[in-house]
Amino acid sequence: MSNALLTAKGLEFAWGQRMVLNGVDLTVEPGEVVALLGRNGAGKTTLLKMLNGLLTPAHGTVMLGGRSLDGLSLPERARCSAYVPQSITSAFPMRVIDVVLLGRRPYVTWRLSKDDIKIASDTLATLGLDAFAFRRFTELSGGERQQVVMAKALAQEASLLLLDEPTSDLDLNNQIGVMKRIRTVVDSVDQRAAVIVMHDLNAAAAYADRVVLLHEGRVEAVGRPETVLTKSNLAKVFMVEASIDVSPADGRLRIHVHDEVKASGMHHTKNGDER
Amino acid sequence: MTDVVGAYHEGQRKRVASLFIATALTLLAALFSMGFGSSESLSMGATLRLIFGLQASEGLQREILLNLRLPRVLVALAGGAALAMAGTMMQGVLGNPLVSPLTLGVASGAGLGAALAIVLDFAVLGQAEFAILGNAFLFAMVVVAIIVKLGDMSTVTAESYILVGIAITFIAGAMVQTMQYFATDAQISQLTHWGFGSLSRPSLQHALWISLLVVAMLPSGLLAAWDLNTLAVGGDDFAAATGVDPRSTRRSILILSATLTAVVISFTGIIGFLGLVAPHVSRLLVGNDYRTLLPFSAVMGAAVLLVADTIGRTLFAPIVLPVGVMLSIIGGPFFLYLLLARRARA
Repeated sequence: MSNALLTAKGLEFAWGQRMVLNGVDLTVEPGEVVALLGRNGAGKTTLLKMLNGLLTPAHGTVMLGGRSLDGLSLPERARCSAYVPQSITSAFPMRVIDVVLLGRRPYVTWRLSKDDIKIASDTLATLGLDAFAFRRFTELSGGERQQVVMAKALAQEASLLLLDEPTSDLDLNNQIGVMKRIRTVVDSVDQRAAVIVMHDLNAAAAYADRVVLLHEGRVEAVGRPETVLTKSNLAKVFMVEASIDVSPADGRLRIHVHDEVKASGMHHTKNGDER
Repeated sequence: MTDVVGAYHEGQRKRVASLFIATALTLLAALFSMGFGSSESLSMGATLRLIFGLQASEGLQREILLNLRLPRVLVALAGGAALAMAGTMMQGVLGNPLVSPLTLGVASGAGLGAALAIVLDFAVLGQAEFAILGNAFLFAMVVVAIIVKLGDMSTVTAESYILVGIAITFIAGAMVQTMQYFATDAQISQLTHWGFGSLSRPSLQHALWISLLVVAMLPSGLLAAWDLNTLAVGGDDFAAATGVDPRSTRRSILILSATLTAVVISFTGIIGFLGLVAPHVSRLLVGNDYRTLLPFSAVMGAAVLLVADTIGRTLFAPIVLPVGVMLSIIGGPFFLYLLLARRARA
């Protein structure tokens, strides 16, 4: 019996007639950053939501910390895993600190303790957001809002972080900053791990311990970045021609995408919207 | 590094202080309003002494206070608090700042009940003076039952509630109009008057009932403050990932809000604007954290309804203007001013 943080087995899911996930297995060990890659509509977000219980699989099981997700109450789940959606729009201008404090909801019924506020304040500091504490959440940019929701997720003190494209709304500098911070956040606390949906192959190669390549509802390949991000896998899944080498500067995998794969009739995958 | 913890506590202290100040001012205003009227104006001290029988009543003084003004003031306080809190809670769980207690169609249900009693002489329970009240309440509760039923469906979303509310409003409205079409002038006049919304109707006994029900129901709304916060900030997935069940929270909060609305408007008639304005004014003043927003909007609702009614019954005394009308006349421009002033600052 492994001490995996998360074990998902045989996950299946369909939106109406369209099969989104078709027998997906995934294990996440403590200390890991796992990148979830795949084309639009490959089922990445669906899978991420299923790992958190936001969607219920038609078949298959998700075990969180050795317990079945079905057997956990919502607050119990929220204490074990925290989810940061791709975008978040809010109708009411709450202050940033109040949004982060919501991360303490699984622990409190009404009154916040001094510790709760300290934790919220510390997570803001960890992400370099202290200056934002009393600004209105609705007045921030999309990328900043997502960072605030990430602070809220950290305030949940969950061991598993599920992040949906945390860098999609950020400039280059902030993309690197955020990926580094995720790495730090995972490495600094024992027994913590992150699953990140992303599109940037180079960032996945640089910051993830393992890469899961989703393709047409199945796991096409899983393993260390250099074993998964191969020319043939990228050609098959993303339909791109890429060259891959190791950067002499930092020893990281470097992926350079040249062009679409020219095979006729293969350009048009089913163009499902990603949910 | 900014002292976030210190600043947060400071902010909380300010919010709690403003809540206490607002409550104290509202209670003072209530006392003032009781002594203020067309017959004779009394000082606040005299008002208190008369109510508790510590001062001999000259003529009808005590009668007027206990049987005319006390019920009005009680209904203003309890009804205002209930409608404002209902509006604030509903906006949160439906994630929509345009929502008011009338959105779900509760008032339209009450209107249909009242019309049935007035035009067709159809009363489900009770006769005479109780017919309209009983009908209004029962038909409002039918709408609450529809909300309960809707909440049982697995696919229901925030939008479904709003759309069903709009549909109920149209259907009930059409039925009332059909009745009006065949009604006598006297009936139409009575129905129109019912629709105005007035605090003159409830007797002291009714006022005590309303207050009791409202006081009994408000705490469960306050206890849901955190859940309201999570839903208001990020919607369903965000709430679920934070440990809050969005569907059951929405369902129970809507049932609570609709019942509060039903209790108040079946006694007073339709008071519409308050449940939209009081929440927004409160949001502007104390922010959007439901832990302070909810009690503050309750106080704000009570204060606004009280002031509007006091002005309405004294401005052209002895003519009493319906409070629903006064609310829109006074509250509307004030609301616009706050919104525009805020936009100008931003």
